[in-house]
Amino acid sequence: MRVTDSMIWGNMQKNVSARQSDFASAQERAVTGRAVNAPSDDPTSFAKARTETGNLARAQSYERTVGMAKPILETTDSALMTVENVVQRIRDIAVQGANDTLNANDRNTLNQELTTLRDQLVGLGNTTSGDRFIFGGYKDNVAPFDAAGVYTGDTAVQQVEVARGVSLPLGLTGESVFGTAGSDVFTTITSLQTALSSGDAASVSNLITEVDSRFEQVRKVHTQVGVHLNAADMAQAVATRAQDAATVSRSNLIDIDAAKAYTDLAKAQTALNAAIQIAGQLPPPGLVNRSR
Amino acid sequence: MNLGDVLSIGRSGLTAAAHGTQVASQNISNATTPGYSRRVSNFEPVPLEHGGGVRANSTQRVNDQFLERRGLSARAYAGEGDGRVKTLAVLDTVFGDGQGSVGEALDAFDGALSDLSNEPNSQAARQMLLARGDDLSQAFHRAEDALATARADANGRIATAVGEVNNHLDEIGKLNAQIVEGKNARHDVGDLEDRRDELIRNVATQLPVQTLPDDSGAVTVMVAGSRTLVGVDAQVHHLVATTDATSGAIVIQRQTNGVMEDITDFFSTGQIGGTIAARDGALADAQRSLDQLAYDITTAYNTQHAAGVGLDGNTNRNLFAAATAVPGSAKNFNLSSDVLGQPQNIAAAQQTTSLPGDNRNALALVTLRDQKLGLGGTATAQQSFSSMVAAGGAAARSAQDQLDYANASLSQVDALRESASGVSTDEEMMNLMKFQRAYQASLRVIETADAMLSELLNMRRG
Repeated sequence: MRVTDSMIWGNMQKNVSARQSDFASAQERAVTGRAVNAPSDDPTSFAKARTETGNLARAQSYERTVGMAKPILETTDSALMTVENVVQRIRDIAVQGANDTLNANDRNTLNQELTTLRDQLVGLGNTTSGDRFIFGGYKDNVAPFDAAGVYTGDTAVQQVEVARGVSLPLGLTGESVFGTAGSDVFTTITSLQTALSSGDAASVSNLITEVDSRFEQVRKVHTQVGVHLNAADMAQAVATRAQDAATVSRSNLIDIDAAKAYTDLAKAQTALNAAIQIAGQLPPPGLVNRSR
Repeated sequence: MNLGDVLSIGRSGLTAAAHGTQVASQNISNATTPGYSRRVSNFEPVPLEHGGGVRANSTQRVNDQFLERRGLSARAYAGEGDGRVKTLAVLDTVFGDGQGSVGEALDAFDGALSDLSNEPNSQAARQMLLARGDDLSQAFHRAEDALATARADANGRIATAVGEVNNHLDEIGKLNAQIVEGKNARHDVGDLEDRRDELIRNVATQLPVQTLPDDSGAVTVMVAGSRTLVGVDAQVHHLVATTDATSGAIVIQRQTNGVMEDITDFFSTGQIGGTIAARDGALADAQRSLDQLAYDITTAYNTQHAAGVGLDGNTNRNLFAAATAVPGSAKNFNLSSDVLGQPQNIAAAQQTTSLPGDNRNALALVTLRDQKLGLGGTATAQQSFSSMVAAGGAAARSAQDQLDYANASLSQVDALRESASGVSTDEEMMNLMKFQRAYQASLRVIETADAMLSELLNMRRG
């Protein structure tokens, strides 16, 4: 093939600019740590990485939800523990009151203790976590129980999504803990007090089973809250794992191994240096010099 | 046969050598001139019975018509790739994954909705949702604006290119006339032909061009082998870039005897062809799918939002400004005036009686991220966006691949052409030396003839 000056210079220019572009892209990969910097670098990987970024964001939002739900569930758990103790004490009082040998003075003392316990239950019914009344259902911004123990809260409770398709209730309705109006623990206390004041030991004795069923109710929802707390812990672990998984697979899709990035950069630099050096040497002066 | 002839033979040798030196020098000085085809001298002997000697019979361009034609189509393909790459570069930006991209904004918006469902009564959570909704609007606007700008740029590039092509066509027409005239007058028209070939190569970068040489020396220039742009009669048919009334896109027409014909479809390759293909293909697709996504999101979220109640107990409010039609949805994507600046109006609740802790409608809004609301009910919003990313990236990738391939084959054809027509200074240096020697030799011939003539004169005297 006949080789002309333009071919030699043209090839040289093309090669130097190709090496320069190689070097620039190797440099970009090394600096950003990413093998895929734009959708056109690798459309499929880039689109998958976008999905993984979405998964990461979602896992983070689940983690925020669990982080918010757990303190509420923990407050609910400890409030219910205290409620159980109080109802247990009410049962003790009922058992004592069912004894015929008590005098009016003793019964009066028991009555007074019941009043204190009822106030305590009302206080527990108005427990807050942050500024949220945990036994108010949806109406969580106002105290759900008045001084007499009348429930004004909502009949349904807020649910939050802590994992895909997994919802947890935040708190409980007052009714589910203390019973519905008429058959609630406060009515039971009033009945007990009436029976005690009138010295009706038999009636007091009959009320023991009612106290038992109130206790059972509290224990039942308390167990549920325990289950929900477990579920929250699990959801937290799932969210953490999902974040790790999304981060790792995103990185596998678009990141570059640091060692490879630096090796590539060094190679590109060597190639560019060589091209520039050769460009400075060629072409030999040839006959132009000779003919002088 | 006489010695006087020898003198004139020597003189013709001197002239020929001088001519050869002239041609070699011309070649050397034009070694780097773009489009220059090297010249070779044509020498032919003068028969001895006619006095003998050599005749330097004009110069000739070294030019391979076949390679020239291959170069034109290679240029058109490279131009097409270039047009595509320039038009589609915007897709990497629009579908890149960074702060402010539609994908990230959707993630953040979904997150803010989820946070609102955790605390439906929190002003902070409501404010945050509005802020994220606004971010999402901005992301849509930025993407839409980038695509619209790219489209306007593409149209602008086409119009500019058409203007340049017309200038070239005018000049080719003039050169055609000059070449015919020059040839008739037996002048050297090599420089004019070089110039014309270079202009045709420039035109070929812009559109698929064919040439038809005529015996007169003129060349017919056609687009896609069927529409004449420059005729042998030196008539030039200009291209006219006009904005189509319905699509708003630039179309190309050809003017013949005052009649306009739309020949946009003939521009299959060339920079103009590539720009048109990318503009009406991947770029238009990206604009359409972005609008569709904005429309689908607006519709789905508004329907759910209207079903819920705000903190004030009022219902039937939009979250985003209602979208009436798919086109323009991305540009007009905004928070609705119902909620803008009024976070309490966000409908997180389902029932007025359950306010303010009711988060059921917020939860329903959260679940929309898993609802297949996009791509005709086959993909979630995020999946729709991901497939836009993949499609946009693939289009930009294939444009770049095409350009790389076309450039490689153009280099190859250019190398072949250059190998035939280009100047090698070493070769020309050798020619210089050769003609120098030839000049010296011819001088010696004259010296010899002169000496012989002197001998003859001396003999007579003696």
